[in-house]
Amino acid sequence: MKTKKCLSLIIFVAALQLLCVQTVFGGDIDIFGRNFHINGYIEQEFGIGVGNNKAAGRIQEAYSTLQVEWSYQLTDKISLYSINRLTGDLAYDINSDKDWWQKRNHTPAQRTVSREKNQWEWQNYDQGTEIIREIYLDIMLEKWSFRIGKQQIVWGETDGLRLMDIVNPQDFRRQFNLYDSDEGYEKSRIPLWIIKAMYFPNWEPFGVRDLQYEFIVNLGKTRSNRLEAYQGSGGMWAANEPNLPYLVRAEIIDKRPGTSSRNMEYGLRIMGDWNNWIFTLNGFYGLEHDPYLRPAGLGLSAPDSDGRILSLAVEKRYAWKRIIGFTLNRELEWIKFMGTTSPVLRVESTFQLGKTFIFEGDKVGDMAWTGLNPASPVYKRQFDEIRTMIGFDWNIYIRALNKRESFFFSAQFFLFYLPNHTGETVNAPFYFKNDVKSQPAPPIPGTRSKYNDPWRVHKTQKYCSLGINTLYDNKRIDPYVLFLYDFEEHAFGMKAKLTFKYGSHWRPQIGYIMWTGDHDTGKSFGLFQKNSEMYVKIMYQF
Amino acid sequence: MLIRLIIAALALVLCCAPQVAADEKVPAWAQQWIDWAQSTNNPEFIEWSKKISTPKAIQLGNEWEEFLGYNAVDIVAKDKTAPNIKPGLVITPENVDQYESELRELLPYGFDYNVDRLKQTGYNTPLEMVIVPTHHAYQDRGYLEATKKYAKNCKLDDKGNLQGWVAGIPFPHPTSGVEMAHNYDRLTIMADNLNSSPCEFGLHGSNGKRERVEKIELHWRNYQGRIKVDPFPNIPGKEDVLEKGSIVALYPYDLRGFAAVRTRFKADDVEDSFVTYIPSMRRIRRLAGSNTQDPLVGSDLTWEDWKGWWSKMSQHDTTYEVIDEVVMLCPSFNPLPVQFKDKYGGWNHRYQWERRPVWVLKFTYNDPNYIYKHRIWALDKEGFHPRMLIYNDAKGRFWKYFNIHWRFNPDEGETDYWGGTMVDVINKHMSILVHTVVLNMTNITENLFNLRYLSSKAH
Repeated sequence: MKTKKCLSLIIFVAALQLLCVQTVFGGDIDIFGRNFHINGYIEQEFGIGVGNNKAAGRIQEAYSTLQVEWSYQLTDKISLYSINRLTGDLAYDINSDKDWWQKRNHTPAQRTVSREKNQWEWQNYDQGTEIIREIYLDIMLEKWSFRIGKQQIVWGETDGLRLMDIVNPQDFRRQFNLYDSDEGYEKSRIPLWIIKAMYFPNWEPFGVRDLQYEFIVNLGKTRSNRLEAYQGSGGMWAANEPNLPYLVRAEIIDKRPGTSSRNMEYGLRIMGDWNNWIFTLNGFYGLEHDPYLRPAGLGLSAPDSDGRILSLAVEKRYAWKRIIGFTLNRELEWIKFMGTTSPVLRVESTFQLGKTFIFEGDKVGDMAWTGLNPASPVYKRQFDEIRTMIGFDWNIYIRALNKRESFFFSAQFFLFYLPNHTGETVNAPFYFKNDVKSQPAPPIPGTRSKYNDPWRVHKTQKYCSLGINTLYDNKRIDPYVLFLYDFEEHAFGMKAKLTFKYGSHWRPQIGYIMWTGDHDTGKSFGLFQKNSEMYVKIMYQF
Repeated sequence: MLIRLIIAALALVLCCAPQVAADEKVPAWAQQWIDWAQSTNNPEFIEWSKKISTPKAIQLGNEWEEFLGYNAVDIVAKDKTAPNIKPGLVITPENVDQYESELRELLPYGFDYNVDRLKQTGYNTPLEMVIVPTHHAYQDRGYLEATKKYAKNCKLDDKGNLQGWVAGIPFPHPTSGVEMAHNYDRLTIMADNLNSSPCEFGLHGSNGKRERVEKIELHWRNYQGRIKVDPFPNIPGKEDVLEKGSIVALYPYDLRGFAAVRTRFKADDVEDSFVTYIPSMRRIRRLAGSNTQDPLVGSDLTWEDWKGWWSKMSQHDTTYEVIDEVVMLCPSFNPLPVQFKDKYGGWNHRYQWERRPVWVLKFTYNDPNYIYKHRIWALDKEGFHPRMLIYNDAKGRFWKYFNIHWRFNPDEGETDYWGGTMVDVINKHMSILVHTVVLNMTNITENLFNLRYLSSKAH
C-alpha cells in the first residue's frame, strides 16, 4: 500500500511538471538543434455495474492512466518515437474493504493468484511493463523506410472485430472487446518488437499507383491475447469461473513459447491504388494469439481448501498460423444519397490454412478435449478458415436532427466459414451448465449429458456491426454508438458514449457498455454480460 | 585617349539609363501610394510603398495593365462615392457613427455586415479599419503568360462547363457570371503549390473569446494548369489529376497525427479520393470524397468553403449572376499579418482596407440538398479572386461571412493568404485562419501526396 501511494505521488508530480512545461501549442523543445516533441494525457475513469451485473450500482473499475508520447528528430532521416504508459485500477483501493469485491476477486480458482497483484501495470508479475509501451526508430530513405523497435502493426479495414489485424495480440482485460474497439484498438493492442521495412518502388505496373511493399519480422519475442480466464489472475474483468462439478478443479498450464529465434514471425503486405481501388495483399506466418488446449491428464489430489479432489489438467498451447488475405476499399461514387454523398465500400478477407480448433468429437458430448474418451482420442483438429467482411461507410445528412453535420453510418457484415469442417469443435472447453455444480463429477465423455452446452464453432458464423456518429456544436459534442451482433449465438454487444470537447485540453466522457448472451456457459458476448456498466471518464490532454 | 573617354562616358550613361528611366517612369498607380506613404511618415507604409514600386514590380504591373486594359487605381480614381472615406482614416467602434452612412454606400449588397461589426450589433466581432490607398494588384507572371497563350482556346459548352482550358485564366475579360466563376475555379491556390505550416484555426465562441485552437500542416499542389514551377503546364503521368492536397494535424493531442491526402480529378464525373490516416486506428482509412458539406475540424468552414467552393461546378445546378460592377471597400493587401486583440468587449480585428473595383457575383443553388442557397462575392477585377464572401443558408437566411486576409508579393505577382475570418452569425461562432504560407516551392514531390505520406505519419 505504501508503495502504491508512493507511486501515485510520483505520477501526480510528474504529470504536474509535464503540465507546467507545456505551452499552449504543444511541447516542442529544441535539443541540440533538433526538435523534441512531447504530449500525452492523464485519464481517470469510474465504471459502475448495471443490469444483472453482480456489481450493479457499485464501482467495478476505476482505471487511471498516464500516457506520454514523445519524438525526437535525431537527423533529417532518423527519428525516435516512444509511448510511455502507466495504468492502474483504483477500484482495488476503493473497494478493498468491501465484501462483495473480495468475493469477486477470490473465487476458488482465482484465489491462489490474486488480481490485486496486477493493480499497477508496472509490476513484473503482469509479464511486462508498459513504461516503455512503444519505442522505435524511424529511418526514411528515398525508396525505403524502416521502423525498428516495439510497435504496433495494423492491417485491415475492419472495425469492431479483427480479421486482417493479425500481427499484434490484444489485451482484453479491461472492458473485454469494447474498451477501445470504437477507437481502433490503439490502447488495447499489445506492441511487439518488430522490424518493419517498407519499399516504395516508384513504378506503376498496370496502372497501379502508390505501390508499396511492407515486410515485417518478429525475431522471436511473441505475445498472446490477454484475457483472464481459468485460474488466471482473476478479478472483475476475468471470465467467470467455469461451471464445474463440486469435486473437480480445472488446472490450466500456460505453455506460451518463450523468446526464441524458433518463434520468428514474418509478414508481407503489398498496397496500391488501382483506378481508385485501394487494395492490399497480405501474408503472415506466426503464432496464434489464442491457445488451443491440450489435455494433460486427470489426477487425484488431496482436497485443498476448496474441497476439490479431481484435477483436470490442460495445457494452453499455441499453434502456428498461416494466413493470406486481401482488402479493398473504394468510394462508390455512382451511388448518392439525395444527390449528396456516396458510400465507401470496404472489403476484407482472410484465408487461414489449417487453423487449429479444440475438438469436441463427432458429436456434442464426446468431450475429446479432455483426452479421456478412447473413442475420440484426437483433442484438436485443423480446418481451413475463411473470414470475410463487407462494409459500407456512409455520411448521410439528416438535417432535422443535425443542421450542420452529417451522420456517419458504418455497417459491416462478417462471415466466417470453415469449408472442410467436420465433427464438432468448440471455442472453449469446460462448457457445463450451472446445474453441474450439484454433481460430483463431470459427464462421462461420449455420453450425451444435459449438462453439456458448448459454445460451438459453427461451420458458418455470421456477425454484423453498426456504428453511428455525428457531431454537434462545432464538433464539441461527440455522440457515438456501436452495436455488435452474433447471429449464431444471438449475442449482442453495445457501446454508447458521449464526449465533450470544449477547449483544447479537457475531454470528459460518459458511456455505457453492455453485453448480452448466454452467460451460463459463456457463449460469445454473453461471456461478459456480468460486466455491463456505465462509466464516466475525464481526460486531460497536453 | 579622347575616344576612350567618350566610350567610358557612353558606358556610364548606358548603365545608368535604365535606372534613371525607371525612376522617371514610376507609373501613377505606384506613385500615388508612394506619395501617400511619405505623407504619413509611417515606416510600415513607406517600406511597403518601396516594395510595390521596384523595377520588377512596375514592369509586371505594367504588363498586366496593358493586357487587361485597366488598373484598379484608375477605376477607383473615377469613383466619387463616400468622399470622406479616404486613405489615412482609421474607423473604429468609437467613431463609426460619423462614417456609417458612407461606409454603407461603399459596402452594398449585404457586405455592410462589416459596419455592423463596427457598431457591435449582433454577434460581436469588432473591427478597426485602417484605410489605405488602392493597389494595382496583379497575378503571377506565369498566369499572364499562360493566359496569353491558352485563353483563346477556352469556351463554355451548352451546360456552362469549361472546355479547352490548359492553364492561366480562361476568361480574362469575362462577360458573364459563369465565366467569372470559372476564372476563380482555375486559379485555385493562385500558385503551383502552396505550403502552410502551421495553418492555425482559432475557434471563438459566442463571447468572441478563443476557446480552442487547432493547427495543421497543409500542402497543396496543382497537377494541371501549372504556370511557374517545372514541369508546366502539366505533370506528366498524372493527366487525370487536377490537384492534390495533404494535411497533417499538429494540435491538439486528440487531433494530432490525423493525416489526409485529397486528390481532385479532372473528370467532372469522378469524385475526389479522400484517404486518411487515423492515429487511434493506426491505419489508413478512406473517407467519402463526396462529403463536402461537413465542417473542417471544428471550424465554421466546410470543404465547400475551401478555395471558394469545393464541388465541381458541374455537380450542382447553379445560376451565376453578375449583380453589379462597383467600387467597394475591401480588405487590403496587408503587408503584415492582421492584428487581433481583446478589445471592445470582443476579439477585435485591425487591418487595412482599400477601395477595389469588383464584380458582385451571386450564386444561386437550385439543389435543395445543397448546404447553401446563395453565395454573394465581391470578386476582384484585377485578381479575379473574391475579397469578401457572404453565405446564405438553404432557406436564404444570412448565415456566414468570410473576409479573406490577402497577402501580395508585388515582384512576383504572387497573391496568397495571411488567413481569413469566417463568422457564423446564426450560431455565433467564429473561425480565424492564420496561414504561414510559402508558395511555389521547387522541392515539393509526389511523396507529400500519396499513400507513402500517410504511412510516414503513422504512429
